[in-house]
Amino acid sequence: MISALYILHRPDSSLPFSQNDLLLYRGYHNDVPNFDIILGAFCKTYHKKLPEEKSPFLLIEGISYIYVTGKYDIVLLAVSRQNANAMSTVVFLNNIYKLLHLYLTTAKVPVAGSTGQTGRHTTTTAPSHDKIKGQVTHTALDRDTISDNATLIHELLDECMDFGVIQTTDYNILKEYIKVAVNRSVHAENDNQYDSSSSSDSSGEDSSHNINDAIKMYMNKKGKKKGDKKKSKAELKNIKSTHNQPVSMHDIEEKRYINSSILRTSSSAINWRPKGIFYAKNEIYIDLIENCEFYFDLGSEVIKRNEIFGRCDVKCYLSGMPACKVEFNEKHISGIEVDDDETEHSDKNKDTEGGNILPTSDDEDDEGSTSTIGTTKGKHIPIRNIQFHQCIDLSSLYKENLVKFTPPDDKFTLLTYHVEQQKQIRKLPLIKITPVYKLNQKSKTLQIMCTLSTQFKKRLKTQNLLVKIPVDPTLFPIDNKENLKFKAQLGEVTFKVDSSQLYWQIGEIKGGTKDVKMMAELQLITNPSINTVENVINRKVKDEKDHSKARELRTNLEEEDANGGRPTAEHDDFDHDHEHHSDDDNDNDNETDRGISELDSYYGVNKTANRVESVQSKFISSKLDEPFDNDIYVSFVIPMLSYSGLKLTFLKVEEDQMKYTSFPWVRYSTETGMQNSTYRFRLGVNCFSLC
Amino acid sequence: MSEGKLFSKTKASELKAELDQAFRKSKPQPRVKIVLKKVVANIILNNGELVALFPDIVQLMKLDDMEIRKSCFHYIANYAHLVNHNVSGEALPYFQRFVVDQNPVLRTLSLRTLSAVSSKQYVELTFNVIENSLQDQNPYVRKSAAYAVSKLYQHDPDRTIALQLIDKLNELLYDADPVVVSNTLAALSFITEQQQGKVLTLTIDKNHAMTLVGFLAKTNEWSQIYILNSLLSFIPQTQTDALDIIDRIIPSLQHENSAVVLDTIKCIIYLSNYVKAPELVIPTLSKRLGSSLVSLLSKKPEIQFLVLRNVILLLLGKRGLCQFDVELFFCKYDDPIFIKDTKLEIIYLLANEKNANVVLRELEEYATEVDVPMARKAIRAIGNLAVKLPSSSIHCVEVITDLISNGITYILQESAIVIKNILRKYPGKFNFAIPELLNHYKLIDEPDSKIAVIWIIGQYCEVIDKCNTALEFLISTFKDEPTEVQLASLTTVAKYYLKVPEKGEQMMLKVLQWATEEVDNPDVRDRGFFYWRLLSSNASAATDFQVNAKRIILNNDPFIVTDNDNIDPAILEELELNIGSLASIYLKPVQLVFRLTKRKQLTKSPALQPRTIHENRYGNGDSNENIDDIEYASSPPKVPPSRLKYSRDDRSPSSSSRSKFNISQHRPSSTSDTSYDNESTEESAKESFAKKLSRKASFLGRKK
Repeated sequence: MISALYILHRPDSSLPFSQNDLLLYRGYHNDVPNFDIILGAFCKTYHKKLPEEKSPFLLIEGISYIYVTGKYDIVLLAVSRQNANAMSTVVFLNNIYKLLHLYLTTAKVPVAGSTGQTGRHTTTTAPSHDKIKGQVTHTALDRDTISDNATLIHELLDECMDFGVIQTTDYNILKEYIKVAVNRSVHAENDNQYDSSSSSDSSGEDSSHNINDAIKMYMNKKGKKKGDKKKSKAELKNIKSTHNQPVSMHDIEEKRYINSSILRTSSSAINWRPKGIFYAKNEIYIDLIENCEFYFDLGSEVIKRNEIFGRCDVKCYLSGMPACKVEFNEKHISGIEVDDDETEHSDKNKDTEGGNILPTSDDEDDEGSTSTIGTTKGKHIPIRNIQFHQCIDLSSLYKENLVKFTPPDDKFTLLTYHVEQQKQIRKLPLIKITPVYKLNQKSKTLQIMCTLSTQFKKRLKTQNLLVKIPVDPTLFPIDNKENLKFKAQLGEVTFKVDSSQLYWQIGEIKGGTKDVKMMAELQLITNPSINTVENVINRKVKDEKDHSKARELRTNLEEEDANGGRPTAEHDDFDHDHEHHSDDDNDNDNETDRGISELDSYYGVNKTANRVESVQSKFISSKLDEPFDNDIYVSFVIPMLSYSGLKLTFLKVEEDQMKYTSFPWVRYSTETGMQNSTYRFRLGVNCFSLC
Repeated sequence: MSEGKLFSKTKASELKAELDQAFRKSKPQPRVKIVLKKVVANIILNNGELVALFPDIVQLMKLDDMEIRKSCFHYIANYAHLVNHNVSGEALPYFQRFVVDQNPVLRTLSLRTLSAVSSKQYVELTFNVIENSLQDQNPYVRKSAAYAVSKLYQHDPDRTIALQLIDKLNELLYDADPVVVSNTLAALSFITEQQQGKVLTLTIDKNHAMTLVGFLAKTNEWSQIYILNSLLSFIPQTQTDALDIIDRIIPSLQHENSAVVLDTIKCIIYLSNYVKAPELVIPTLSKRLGSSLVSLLSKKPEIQFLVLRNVILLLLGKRGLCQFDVELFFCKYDDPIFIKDTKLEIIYLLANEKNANVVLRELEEYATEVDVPMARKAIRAIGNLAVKLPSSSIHCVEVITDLISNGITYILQESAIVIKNILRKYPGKFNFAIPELLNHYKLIDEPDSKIAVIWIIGQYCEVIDKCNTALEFLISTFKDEPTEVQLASLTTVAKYYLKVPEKGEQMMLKVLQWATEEVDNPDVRDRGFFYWRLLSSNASAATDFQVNAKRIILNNDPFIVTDNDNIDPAILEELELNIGSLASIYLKPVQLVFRLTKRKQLTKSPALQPRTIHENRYGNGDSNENIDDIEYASSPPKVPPSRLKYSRDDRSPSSSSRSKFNISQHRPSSTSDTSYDNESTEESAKESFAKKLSRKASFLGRKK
């Protein structure tokens, strides 16, 4: 039971006397004092708390304060005097925040996190959308937007919660009911249109949603004017391109302030889908998008982190009340193993008649030169944290391993999952980068050579492949007056002065490509002493606190020692189970150099570890100003690949009444470098050489 | 037009004028709406002056426009109780008409407004119309009527019962529409949770429970929560009853809404009380519960925090029912501090012999982190682990000595305290850690760590090389130290003198002099005099050097054991019934925080399983706990509270040195201890359990 709900604007919450501005409040019970008392107590106590006590739940004099922080200093606060269900309150506040976004802004919903927590569950935004995001200023859910739309929000809160009991937070239902026009600045409206039209260029099916959205907004805005005829030509053109214009409730019942659909939907079994949706062409798009979080340590040739944050986005333009069935190639999609006989039993029972059995491309793996992407047939993909949309019938999920659902209209995320591949060392990185920084002391130049290999199926290719190679300005002061020389087998190389990074823009590259090279020569102002380079290298070693690395180094040295002090390239280079040894020639001189310097240090001081430590302490005292991010960042999109191996094997749409044929579209995509995922290589000792 | 402009306090007379102007037009609606928007804005701004507008606003309800009426309702709900009867009564005829209007939305809204106002007339009218509304053909209206009943119960409980509205509400539970049922459950649960007046309890029989569970798939996320909560009112009579329900609700563990997940867990935990050895009956259960909880950790920080608190609760109470991999609770670098904090506690709770290596490596990483409080807590956790897991203690000590060798101040402070505890737990086993620590004695400056180091010197002065210089340095600031440090120094100097008389004599005299002559604190003075008397009277005896003093001062400390006192099962039980609620965050007995809440407990039934003892422990491997038990039992009468303490004030070597005043180690039971046991009534016992519980919940202490 929530007693009251407040929307606050709280700038500079870290300052001791920051002012809380109340933007809106809605009381549900009369058991809490006036809002200024509430807010005063909230502020005061909050500042007294120690950082680790600043949890989102505060108890002040018998009243519990539950709050969620959003962007632009917006805080949603709920208070209760009773032992309320904290979890549902928090979820409710988060949902309200999302809801406000959907209603009031054109931006995608950011994650409401109190301290910049990177969440993985933003709303469904197509990749093409993201690119544009940088250029367009969206209407943001900030202080002004909220106070401009106070009446609307008030109505929303009224509908979402009755008597302190949560009713519904589903946008699809509420939007049918609450149709107060949104107040947006004219500027923002223009942006919105720009957004939709530009995104339509990039990809057809993505745009259809955006346009529909834009039209709806547009019509909302125009209210009762019957906006159809006033649509701009550009928009009309866009609609044609989608071939599929939904005839939604909106158009039909535009004039009525309240249609009774909320009565029907909120009290019917499937309350996320209003009845009476009709599309001329019935289509369902399923996108399986996997975001890779990847971290490779070039020093020790070890994959530090290899995680996939996957989601299954569905765009559904189906009429009536369809029942969709989807099956994955994962035996236990629920993530929990059931007894084996049970699943076998259900396998037999499953009626595949009339469904679309989707070809799994497992067999194609062999034809690829590198069978690196593990064939997943019958294998267990270590899926974790799988989360299902509420429309999925959870019981059939367990019993039959079938994802059965009646989809909401339009765009939604069917499920999200998380795969941690750490334990699968066998799996190679999709794209491997080997950089060599060669410092020529005589000519004061820094040569950067970079080799790139891809290791996925030959038929596939990347999109927007971009490699960002750092050049630490504290280490290598670059003389910008001199010409920078670049050469690349594929793509273009540029140097970004502001971030001190080399951008190697490749764009498209096929799978199974080996050793694409890039070279850059940079003129330096001063020669960095060997010492500094060594320092930085050693700092890296220490930073990792990676004992295995140190141990490995030691054993390597011992081996080299056994070889009579003549290290060979093969020893350190790719000593792991990689199938190819790239650029031996390239690395040879570098390798010898390094071996010698390491041997020196080895003979100079008895234990490497000691030396590392001594240098480390020296380094700490000498130089520890702002650290430069010395990781190589890669971003790319690979269409038609699911890195985890998760595939749809079966898809079927049934509609009892209309019995239409539907057109399912399935798409896979593996991407990284966007949103929250990063694909990184950490430079190691062996990446640097002197000559 | 920006609504921001509407947001200013407006005078009632101005608004009235605007209304009058609006009515001069042929179509007043648009203008009226703008005025009403201003009215709503003023409600938000808490403008009391608007009361004066009441009659005018009531008139507006004549206009057949939903938006206008909605705003009017809003106004009335806010101001009706402020105006006198005659004025507020003006609105009643409208409402009387609206509740039988053919538009269900209007019926609903008017009922909602009516029941929200606490004035007598309104309540009266609501009582009159509620029966019809409860039987309305539209489910939406029935749903609101259910809430209206609970509001009426708030206004006038006796009459609500007299009019048998509660019974009617009960009938609504068998409604065909799942949404109505779930909302009725929510309304009923509000009524049953009230403690004023008659205490009502909701009971659900098996058939009904099964029907309710069947509704789960058909309702929205929030309704599911109400249904799941109501399942706590179902008392399984046999084990199969409970298992049937568990089986049906298990799918909800993967719901998108984390509140549904947590409530499902609550429900399963509740039902598992009625199943004998639930982990054996449903072998996958623990894995499922564990994985669904862990999956919530990928959500927003607020949710994570809540989940983590509940994980602690489950680990304390139902360890067998949930299976966790400790690695999943390792902190991410971008976790907010409050989450890291809670995760650290969970890591400690989950640590056992098997995963000790992984845990220690992780904790070591935290200990070198930039965040100082976090680092300190990590070190404390390592130290506590050493005490908790004898087999891994050597590893722990190695890690700590490694950390010490870095010579970072805050690490040293914390390590000193931790090493003291370890040395007490394993006397003589880890002497090699002492010189490591004493290498940096000059850097130790916090009172607690100083006490620890001073105690260590006193206890181990014979094995320390340069202990003279170290002790000299540490006591050089004697006069400026806090009392505890002074007391510790006194004891240590006395010990040092007894062990190494030739070196210690000067130092002891110096300190005794300070203590007796220059310190104001009577405790320190008395202690000084005491030692002085003791040592000087003994010195005269011709026999061995200071035999008596040695016997008194130099003796072994009582054993140190992990904090394994049991939490009151009743409290734990109640908290488990409140999983996901606010009480589960505070981890305090519900009545302490929410006084008006009804006490929840497991209702007796033939199937109810008694709580097993081992469940109340959250310790580690069994063998290890047995050791603790033996230790506990081996010191016969009763060992004073010498558990491993987490917060520092009353727990320091000074407490252990205090015990040295007792003639023998075996008679140390202080009076306060026994009296505490005798005096404590049930109530105060509960309070103290609460303290233990909350301390346990934050075992690492939240200071500094």
